[in-house]
Amino acid sequence: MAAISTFTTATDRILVHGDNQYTFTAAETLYAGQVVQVIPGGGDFLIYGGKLANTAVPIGIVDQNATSGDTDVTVNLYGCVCYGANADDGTAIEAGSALKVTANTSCDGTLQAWAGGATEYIIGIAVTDIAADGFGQVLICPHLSTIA
Amino acid sequence: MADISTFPTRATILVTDPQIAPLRTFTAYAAISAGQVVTVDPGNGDNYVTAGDSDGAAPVVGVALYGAAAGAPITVCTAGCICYVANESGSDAVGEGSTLMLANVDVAGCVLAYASGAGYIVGVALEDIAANGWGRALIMPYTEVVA
Repeated sequence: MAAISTFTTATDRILVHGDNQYTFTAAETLYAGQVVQVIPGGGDFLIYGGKLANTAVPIGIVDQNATSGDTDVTVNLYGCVCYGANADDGTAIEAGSALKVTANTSCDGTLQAWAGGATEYIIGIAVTDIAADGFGQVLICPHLSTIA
Repeated sequence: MADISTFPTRATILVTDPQIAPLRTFTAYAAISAGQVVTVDPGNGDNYVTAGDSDGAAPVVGVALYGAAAGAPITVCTAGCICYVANESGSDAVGEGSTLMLANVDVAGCVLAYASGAGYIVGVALEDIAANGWGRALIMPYTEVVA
């Protein structure tokens, strides 16, 4: 198991089902399929590649590539099913896994299975397997996980 | 920090295109103002919503799209909508990116920034919400329970 260092280029369209999209402004370079966040102190309606260190609930998955300052960047929001990328190149994520924002600091906006035992930011649920260093389908339903 | 004493008024609540927004119709249990966060309270009956307060034992359903009198139908912006919400504080802004929870003030249906512990989460602020003002938020209700 090794964390990927560059975001895998999506070859298919990102949105699979749903129409709940909205446009934001890219605060940095973004790649289609990245989980994104609006972060405290980061600016109104500015989106960043999602990572654990941002300590913010993710809002969705970006639908297109974008560079910093691009406006009208479409994000797939709550209720959409769309493709997201595995943060790891050695281990697949199983369908049914709750998916958290990555702790992989070298590649923002990727996904890891939530194993429980800690309060973490969840982007949604894997509805298909997500191959190692690959894409899989995610039902977007963001929330903060709860420790029992 | 000073809480507001009356719920502010606003004509337009929904930001998301109404053609795609997840809107649902309920019945107002008591009078509700446009923009108030609403809950379905146990014991009030099926599909009745009331303006929410964290003192209540009910999670968030969404944000009222319009005002309604008791017993009248009311349209609610549910999970996935982007809409305006009202700050519970008359002195402190809520920053963008903040997780928003149902406030515990004399004025029901307002939000404040979630810090820790248990609470009824409303969604995420997409921009600054000025003191005694409104701001746009992505509605993603859930109940945060910390053991």
